[in-house]
Amino acid sequence: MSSAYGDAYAVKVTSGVLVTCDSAAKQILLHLDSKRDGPYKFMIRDIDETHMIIKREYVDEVRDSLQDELEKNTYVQDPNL
Amino acid sequence: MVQPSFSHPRSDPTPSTSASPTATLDTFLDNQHQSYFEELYRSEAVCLCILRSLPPVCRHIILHHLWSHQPLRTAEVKSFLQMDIKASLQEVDEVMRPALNRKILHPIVHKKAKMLYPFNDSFKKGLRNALTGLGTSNSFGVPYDREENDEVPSQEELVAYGEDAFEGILKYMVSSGLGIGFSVARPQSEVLELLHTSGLMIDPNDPTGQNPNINRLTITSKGFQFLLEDRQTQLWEILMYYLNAKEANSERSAEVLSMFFSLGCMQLGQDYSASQSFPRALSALNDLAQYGFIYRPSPDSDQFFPTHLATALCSGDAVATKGQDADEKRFLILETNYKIYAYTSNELEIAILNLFVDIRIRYPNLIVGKLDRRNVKSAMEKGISASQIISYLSSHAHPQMYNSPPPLLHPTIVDQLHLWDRERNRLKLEDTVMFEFFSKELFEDTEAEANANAALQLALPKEKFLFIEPQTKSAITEFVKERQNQLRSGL
Amino acid sequence: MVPPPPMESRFYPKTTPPSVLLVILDIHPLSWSLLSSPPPLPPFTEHPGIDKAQATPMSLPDFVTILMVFLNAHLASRWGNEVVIYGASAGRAKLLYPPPPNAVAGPSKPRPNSYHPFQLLDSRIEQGLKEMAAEEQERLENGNVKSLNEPPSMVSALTKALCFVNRIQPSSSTAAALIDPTSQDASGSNSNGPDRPETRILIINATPGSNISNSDQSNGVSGENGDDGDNNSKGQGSKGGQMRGGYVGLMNCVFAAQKAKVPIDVLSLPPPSIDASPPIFLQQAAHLTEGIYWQWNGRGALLQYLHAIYLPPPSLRHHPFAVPPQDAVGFRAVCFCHHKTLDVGFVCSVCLSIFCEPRSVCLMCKTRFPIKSIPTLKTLATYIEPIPVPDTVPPPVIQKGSKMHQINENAKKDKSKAVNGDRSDPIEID
Repeated sequence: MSSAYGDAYAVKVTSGVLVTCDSAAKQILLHLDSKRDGPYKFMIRDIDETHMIIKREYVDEVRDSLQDELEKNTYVQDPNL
Repeated sequence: MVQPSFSHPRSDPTPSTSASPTATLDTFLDNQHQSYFEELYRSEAVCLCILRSLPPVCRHIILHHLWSHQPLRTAEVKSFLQMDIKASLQEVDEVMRPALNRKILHPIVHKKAKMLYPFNDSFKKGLRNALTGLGTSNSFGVPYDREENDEVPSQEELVAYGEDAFEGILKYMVSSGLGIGFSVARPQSEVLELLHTSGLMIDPNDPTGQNPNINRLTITSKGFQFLLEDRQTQLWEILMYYLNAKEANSERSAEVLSMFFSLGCMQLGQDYSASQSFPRALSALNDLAQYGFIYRPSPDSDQFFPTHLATALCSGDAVATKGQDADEKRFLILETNYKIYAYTSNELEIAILNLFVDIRIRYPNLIVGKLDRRNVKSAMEKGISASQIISYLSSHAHPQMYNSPPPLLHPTIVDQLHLWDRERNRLKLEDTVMFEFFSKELFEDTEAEANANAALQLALPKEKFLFIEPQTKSAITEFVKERQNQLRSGL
Repeated sequence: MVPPPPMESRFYPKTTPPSVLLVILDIHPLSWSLLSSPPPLPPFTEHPGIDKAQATPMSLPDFVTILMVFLNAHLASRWGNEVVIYGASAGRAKLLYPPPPNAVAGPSKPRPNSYHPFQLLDSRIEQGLKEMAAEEQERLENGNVKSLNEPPSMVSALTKALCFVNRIQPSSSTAAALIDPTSQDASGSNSNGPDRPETRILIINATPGSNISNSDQSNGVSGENGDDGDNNSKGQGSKGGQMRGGYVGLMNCVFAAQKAKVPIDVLSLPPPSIDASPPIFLQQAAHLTEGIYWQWNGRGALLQYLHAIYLPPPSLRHHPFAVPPQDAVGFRAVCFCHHKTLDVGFVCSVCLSIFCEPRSVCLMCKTRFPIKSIPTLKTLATYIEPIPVPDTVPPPVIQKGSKMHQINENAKKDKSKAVNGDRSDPIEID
């Protein structure tokens, strides 16, 4: 019924968690998602440059793995210096 | 090249211009009714303190007009402020807003083509009596009739007593959060209950917050924020939590609030009689003893001494809490390489610094440490924000720091703190329901509907995507179905 | 008049620094006896409402009561505000409040209905005034009746007040200068630091103007200069002693205050009915230091006037608060030789001393001037007409008992201006 030909007034409803972020973080998220398979993918819908919808059950995991990824890219001064 | 900066040049985060220490009190007062103020203004001490809490311009207009028999004319305010005579009444109202909110003036009335602010008679009388000393409400405290050879604690002893009692509570809060051990005495159960109801501490094993075990409380992020406030703010916050707790028990709080102000006008080192000064707020006075506001030589005596915590309550701004505090409080030197030198040996201050500073060296009177990403971020995990760290750093800045050209804290550090704060919040996550449309018409109608019901999170007209709050899903779905039917039948 | 842009008017200061108010109260007995039995006021036709108010007798105790309420209001208006009071009596001045640190001011028991700082201030002022009155009494009994003819020693009080100001804010300039010699603007560095108190001086004058400005005790020539010479407690006996130093001393104080950015406010109590000529040197003091000069119209309402005019601290004056329009200021000076107030004077081109007539030898610095220039100077001086135009903006017609000043005002005339033609004459210097 969701055919665009059949019904111009069709509406598709999806629920999930809306992620709003800067585009750099978005790219990292895409990258993280691309490394996952099948049911472990967290992304439901890629919306635009700064938004995506993800599965509710992965929210904490996504946030943590993004932090980890950012952490890897941060220069930490040697505390002994 | 123009450096981006988070600190706007005009809103330089100096401690004196940031939130006033009595912010909590102000919001409380702004929400009270006429009758509440009528009750308050019976006390001359309240009138005096409320006057001081007004912004300077408003305060001087009130004083200017205090001895006049006439109501205050708006034309007078305009000429006094050198405003254009045709300036709108809103502008005058804006200046006098604080006085109107405190019910010192009644709203404008029109009388024979003149616009007047009638004075609140009880306030006028109270303030006049405060200035002339002709009141009768004993609001500045009735001195205690002590025997010739009664022992009297010195001012230093009173300050030390008050400091110990209040810092004891703060230390207990810090130690619960850090798991580092001071040997801290647990505050009395009434204090702990207040800390719990105010949300500064929670029992982690009691998610509902209904029946906490007050002996196992740990500090919340709100509690951490509380620790970073300056003393004056902390005192008023505690007092307002206390007052709100009273209100929640549907007790009359005006008497208690009026007692706070009276305490604020008392003299350090003088003893007062509790039963004569505050005949209707004795139990509240007893409660305040647990926080160190007053000192009683023996628990059941009528005699009490206000400590510096109480007498400094009405001093208006934090800087004025001078004497022993002011210089001791200014101990931090922050260099542009993020190194911090803290000239202090106060356990509590060190513990607070330890929240966001990597402490490297500890001498008896000096701490050397570094503001680093790891510690700052762990502090942010606890709910402390960058601006709170900044305001803590600037309000404790060593006098030497004032000798370098402003701003007080170097912009690189301020900006870096903000950047670390942002880093933590790169993702904004919210539950949503996405509606994907094919018809532009239907999309626009639904968007308008969602907007009207404050259900809209995001709308992307190009893709015809609509994001709405999940709890409104059914209502919006209903609407969409209805519209669909209408549009289809319209075909 | 251009109204300020609407946005600007919103920028009212959120806080003001604490403010120290130094009051110099004239308690000269003769002046107060005049004030407590004022002559009836002339009708004030411009405003019938004001005309209805009768001349108000104002005795010292009445006034002190009003002053106390005003000072309490000053203390009340901000935490950290302070008050310092000097009493200036005939030929001597004394600190009335705060009590000197070693004096054990009997800590009277706090009263349940008055704020303790108010109570302390009020009782101490009362005590101090009584002490001064007793000393005055003693002086009279010792046969020193002449001392009563001396004018109130404003200069002594003003000097003490300025020393006090200097004492409470020494660190601001010196410490900053030591640490950062490049800082040009002392006030700029002040505003950054923790709150520095702002100070102002309020002179309450009760002595009719002519007594201060004109001293006809032509006491001959004196060689003293720049001596603010009233170490009054030693009682300098000689009649002219006060006035001789008086003018120079007062002006020295005024310039010191100007430099220290301390405004000197002046409240002149004798209404026009007692004395038509205002105390011009106090008026000059207010004008030069950007203080407020105001003369009471003798019709009561002093408490309100004090609150309305003198209560706002300097940081709130001009913007946003209006100050009362200042009367035209007479910039006349006093000659150093006879202590006369001059419209036209002669100034030594070396040491800038002022004389009422041309001299061949400067009395102060002993510079010799060519004797033949003197007649020329005298003739030239007769051509100079005193300029009737006020030096400052004339007062707009306001209702607050302003009066027209019919003074022929004139700034001091430089000798070199007067003798423009003789410019080329060499001046011999010993």
